[in-house]
Amino acid sequence: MLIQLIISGLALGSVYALIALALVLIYKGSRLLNLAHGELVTIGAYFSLAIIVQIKLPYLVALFPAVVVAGIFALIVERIVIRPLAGSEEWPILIATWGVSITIRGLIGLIWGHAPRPLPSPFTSQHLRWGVYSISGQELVIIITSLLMLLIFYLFFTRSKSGLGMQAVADNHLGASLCGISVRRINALTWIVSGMVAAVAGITVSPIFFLHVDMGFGLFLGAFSAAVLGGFGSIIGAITGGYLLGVIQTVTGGYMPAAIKSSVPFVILILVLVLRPTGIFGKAVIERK
Amino acid sequence: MELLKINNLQVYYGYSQALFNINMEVTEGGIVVLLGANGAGKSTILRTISGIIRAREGNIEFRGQRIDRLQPHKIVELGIAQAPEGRELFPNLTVRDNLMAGQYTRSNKMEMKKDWDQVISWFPVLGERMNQHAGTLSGGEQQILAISRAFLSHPSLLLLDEPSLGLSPTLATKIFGVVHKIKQETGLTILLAEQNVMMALSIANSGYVFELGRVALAGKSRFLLEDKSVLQSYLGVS
Repeated sequence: MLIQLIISGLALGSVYALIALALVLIYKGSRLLNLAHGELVTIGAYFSLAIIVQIKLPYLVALFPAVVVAGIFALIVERIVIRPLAGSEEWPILIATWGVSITIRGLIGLIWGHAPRPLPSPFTSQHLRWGVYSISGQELVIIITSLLMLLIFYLFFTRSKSGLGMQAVADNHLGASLCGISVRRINALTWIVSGMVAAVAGITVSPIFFLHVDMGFGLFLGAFSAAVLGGFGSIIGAITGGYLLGVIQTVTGGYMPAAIKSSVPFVILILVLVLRPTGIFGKAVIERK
Repeated sequence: MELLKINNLQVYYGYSQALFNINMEVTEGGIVVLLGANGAGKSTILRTISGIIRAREGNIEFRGQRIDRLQPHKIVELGIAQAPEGRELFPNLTVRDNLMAGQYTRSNKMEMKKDWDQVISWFPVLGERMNQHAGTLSGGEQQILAISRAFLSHPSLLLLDEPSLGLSPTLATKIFGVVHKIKQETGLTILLAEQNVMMALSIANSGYVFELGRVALAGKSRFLLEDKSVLQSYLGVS
């Protein structure tokens, strides 16, 4: 039972890990918490639905164009909402991202309707059995796709010139400018990459959960708790926190009444903030006002 | 011809004016030093040249081209690099990544390798600490890394903002030796802001003395060194 739950938990954890990673990337690059982050997850999933239904591409093939379109969509949000607010206080930017969240949910409702819709995937009906344990094909797709995405991201982040630029901007804006790095361009790139990573999470999880205008928001709250658990601002922390939270939540849900399952991320969020606000990998930052 | 020409520059921080009517020239080759007490405007000049802060009036020309409206990263691309006050390194990145960030604007692999090897031969300590995070280096090592990172963008003008600040006298002497060595071996033009008057003038060709945001005195190092009364009144050197 426990091992079975851990296997399922890893699938949910993969989704949290990707979303938390994307969230922390934007946070580190632009020093802002993007409340519209869940909507980048949702929009990615709806793009894939449109591509599968309209163009009739197979599920796994549709993933690629949907992810690219989601990246472009994130860039548009950065250009028309975030960039004009550069240099203003934290609060207006936070509220603006909340506005983006509501707007996107409204637009999705207008275009695709408010009723939950299934995302057809050939893997949901298949099961891989191994003794007493089993894993659904879609869960396997989630786990493998996420690992691939993390690998691609790792290579990009540590081996490419743009990745170095992203690391530099995340560490020190002024220092990066003085190295000839365009902080604006890197921030735009960060939104594209974050949008793509979030979309992968949305597209792989939707066949299990159904598409819904609010699906991303719920996942965003979980991913936020995961990022705090790992140490907010730490990339490795976001990924670790994501997997950990997915497993904890699924295991708890297996032994306790189902209603408790959805409150697990928030219980963990509160526990971390009270007991160890820096999370697993976070560093204490003392700010002088 | 002048490499850098500053005309009638007025710079403000909010409502308070930091620089008044600055006129300066930096000719190619050699070290020009900016002297003055804390708050005299030395750092403000360097920040304005790098585009970190904007001048309200006046202009800055680099090789005859106006640069005072450009973004900081564009100014680096044109060939002005700065090791700023506070160093502004990437503390959570390795020494290697810090140095690689210094070469961000460049594409000629062979020249990049040549400069990289040069930096390592000057400062073997960086080679030994390649995989260490920059934040774990000592103050002197961090300063050397900041200067190296700026040098690696292959500038034709290198701005150094108080490289000896916060270092022990021995380390400060070493850093001046480093600056002198860079000038000797590469012929790079260096604009150096310093409070350490005697040491700065000993390696500089000429200097500007700042007082409360104005240029109070300018001339060859020899002239500034000999004019003891002037130094005394402006800089408190006995």
